[in-house]
Amino acid sequence: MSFFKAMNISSSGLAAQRVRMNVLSSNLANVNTTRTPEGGPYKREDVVFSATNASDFENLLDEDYGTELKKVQVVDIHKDTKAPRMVLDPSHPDANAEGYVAMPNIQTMTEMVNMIAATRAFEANTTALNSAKSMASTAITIGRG
Amino acid sequence: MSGSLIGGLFTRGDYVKMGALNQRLERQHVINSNVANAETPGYRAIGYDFEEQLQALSPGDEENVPMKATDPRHYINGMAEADGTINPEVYVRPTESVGQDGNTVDVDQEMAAMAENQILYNATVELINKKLGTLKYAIQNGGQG
Repeated sequence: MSFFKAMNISSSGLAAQRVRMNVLSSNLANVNTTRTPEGGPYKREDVVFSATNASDFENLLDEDYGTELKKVQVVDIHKDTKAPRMVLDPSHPDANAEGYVAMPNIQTMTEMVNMIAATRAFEANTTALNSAKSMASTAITIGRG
Repeated sequence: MSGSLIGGLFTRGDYVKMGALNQRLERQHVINSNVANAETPGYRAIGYDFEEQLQALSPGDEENVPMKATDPRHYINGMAEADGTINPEVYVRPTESVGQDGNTVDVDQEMAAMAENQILYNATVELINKKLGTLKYAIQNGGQG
């Protein structure tokens, strides 16, 4: 059913932006975290989006297979390898010999800006989904008059 | 677009309207795909133009009225199939500006196109409903004069 294809594409966008928002929240929450299971300060994370074919395996035989229509998918959450921020705080238990503490390489402002972008992209996808939904609801009124 | 069983009740224009619904739905898919991938690096915005081809099939356009074909191999015009249906291609839109990440989606433009598409879809459904309403009126009240 073609209406649902439009909604599927938009919902993939919603899901991707939601994952991104989760990752950004995690970055903001851990802006001062100096201890992690893998050792060292928390490392900033970011999502990698990739455009994937809108037709999945079930629709392999579909005439639409191989079309230009693309869903979006989070293919990777990569760790930022930028060096940690060194803060002078000799009383901190994780301070090194010179009294510097390795803090996460997170810029709060960058994360906030990305968060706004993610919110806007989420809203755009909601609007697109609602638009497809409204078209579908209009279509079922055909012949009702 | 093939001739109807109840010849005469539905005009060529009615079939054009019905075809337009499908084309508008396909355009919705294209827009949703662009919006979903508005933040995907390297994604190229896609487009779907059917108005021109639909125009060539519309009644009232003296120059472009397609010839009637009695065989699927007959040539009607460059864009339409023998039975008068059109199959525009989804194409990667040539771009004016490429962002830093190679993405060419302009969300504002997509949202505007989506609003337009939705309104015109609803308008087309409205027109079809009017036509069906007229037929219904004739069927129900025709013999009561």
